[in-house]
Amino acid sequence: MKTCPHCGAPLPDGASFCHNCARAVNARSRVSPPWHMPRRVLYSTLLIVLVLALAVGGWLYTRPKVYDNGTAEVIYTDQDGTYQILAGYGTDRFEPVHEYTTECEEREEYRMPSRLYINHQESGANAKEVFIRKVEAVTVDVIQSDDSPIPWRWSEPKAMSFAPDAAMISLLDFTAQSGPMELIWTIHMENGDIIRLYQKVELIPIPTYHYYPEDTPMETAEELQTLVDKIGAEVEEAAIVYIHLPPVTYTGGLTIEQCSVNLIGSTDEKGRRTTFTSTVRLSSTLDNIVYFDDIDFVGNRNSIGISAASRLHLTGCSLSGWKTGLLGYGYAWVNADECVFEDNLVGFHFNATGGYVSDRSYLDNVFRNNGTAVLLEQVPTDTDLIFGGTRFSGNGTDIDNRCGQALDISKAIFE
Amino acid sequence: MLKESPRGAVRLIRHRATGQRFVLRQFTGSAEVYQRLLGCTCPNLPAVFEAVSQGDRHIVLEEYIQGDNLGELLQSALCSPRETRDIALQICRALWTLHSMSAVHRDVKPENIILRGDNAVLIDFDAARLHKPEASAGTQILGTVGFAAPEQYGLSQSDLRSDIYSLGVLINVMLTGEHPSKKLVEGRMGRVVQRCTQVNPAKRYQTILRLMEAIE
Repeated sequence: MKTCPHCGAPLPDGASFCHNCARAVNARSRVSPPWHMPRRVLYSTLLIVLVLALAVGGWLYTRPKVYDNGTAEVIYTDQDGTYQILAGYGTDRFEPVHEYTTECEEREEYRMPSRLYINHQESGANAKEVFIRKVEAVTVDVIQSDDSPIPWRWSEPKAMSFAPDAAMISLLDFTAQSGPMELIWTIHMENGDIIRLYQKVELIPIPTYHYYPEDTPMETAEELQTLVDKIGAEVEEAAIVYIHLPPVTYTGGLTIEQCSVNLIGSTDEKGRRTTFTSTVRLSSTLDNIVYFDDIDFVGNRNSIGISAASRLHLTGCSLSGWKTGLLGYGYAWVNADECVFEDNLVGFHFNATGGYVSDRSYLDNVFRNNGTAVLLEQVPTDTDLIFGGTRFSGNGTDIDNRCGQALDISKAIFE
Repeated sequence: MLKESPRGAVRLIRHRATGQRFVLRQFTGSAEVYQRLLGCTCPNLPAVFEAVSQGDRHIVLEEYIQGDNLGELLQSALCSPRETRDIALQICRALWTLHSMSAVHRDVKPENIILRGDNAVLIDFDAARLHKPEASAGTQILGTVGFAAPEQYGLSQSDLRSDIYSLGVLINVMLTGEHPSKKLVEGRMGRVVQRCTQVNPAKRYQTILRLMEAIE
């Protein structure tokens, strides 16, 4: 039995109605058709939405657009055609370079051009001239760490003659300490469109080691040879090594064959300089350019001052009294700037067949009183060697160009 | 006694203590729909207060609707389009409730609609589908105007679309006083009536919700 919630009268179980007070006693739910949007209202709403969408779409279509996909390449289309716009570092105008990693040597300064290329998408033709006419301004910005000890520097973008394929170039100056950066090219079109290209650069410092006479025995040729061999055995291949030599005379020879060590000579207060009186040999097994700075090589007319089978760059050195002062052979490429070649039978003998041209300038050298100052027997390049500012005097033969090498001696001095 | 048939009787009764009036139905057959209506309220259908069964015999106590009979009102005046729309939508709600319980009314006509203030209530519904003699002219034809759908004459099984047919006729009668075959109301409502009263049920509105959309 249950009771009526309204009057308390006893009711049978399951009763829905109270016979005493004539009221319903069961739970009831209100039933009504599901709400729906009238079709006319629905259609009107859809029509309004469609019209609004078309209006907004049309408005957006006529707005200036920003082309920014976070990479070094954008495909841009206007009424004249479709263009591939990209930023690269090399001479390939079709290769966008978004991320670039390069190794840097400590204390060195580097310059790298970032190049803006514009190609017709379909034909691949260079479209820089047509496109640039529609450009209002091009800017370059660099995002880098605020605490970089030597921050990146960059030049205003402009066309440069050394890279005629590029529409514009910005020169980037940096060192190994400059840290990573992101370069942003921003192209403001005359129609209001904006195009952005991004290039990230990561620098990997090359491990560099310096050896000083204060710390390491290098007073004699034997000690120096021991040091060079030890470095060759212990230091990683990619490392760059500087040996700062004392102002002593090394009477014994030196052979460099395992590691590209750079020899830096010195001068004491009495004017004594680091000097070698026996042959210094560079084997063909060396990978990097070897630098000799400020060293004298003094011979007795019987032998070769420097015999190089790999790449060598001399600066501020003198070679005198040798049968051959400087010999480049095998796969060598040798350069000399600000050096003196004096009293040799042959000052500089180039007889190499190798493949890597480091630098074709031979600037501000002096060739004096040699039998033959420069003997060009084989030179592994077709381009001309430039003897700018180099002085020839008192030589039996200034240049014996046996291989017919192209030369630029327009700024050389012959006395 | 309101109505009597071989399968049952419908009486108007009064509660002694409160004086309230109720409709008491006694019938045989199925009372399933009444049982379902016990648990719900629809303002456009009489409330079912109690449904008791003993074997095949059932007693149902339902609300007595006090108001103006639409059939009587139409004898003196027609309805305005606004009134017609309001009444038709309310009858749609009543029919949706019945159809959602798999029941059809099968006798939608002005005489079965009571106007209680602004509220239109559809009475005398054939929730059990057993009380009404099939194809009886007395219950399905109002004068010369036929409210019953063709299939209710035994041409095919009647279903909820029969109620849609009848409601179409009702709308036309409210607006013109005539069966649509004689005088079809003009305008959009005329097109609604025309679709409701297609001979082929497949060409009518297929659910009461579609008809409601069209009327709104």
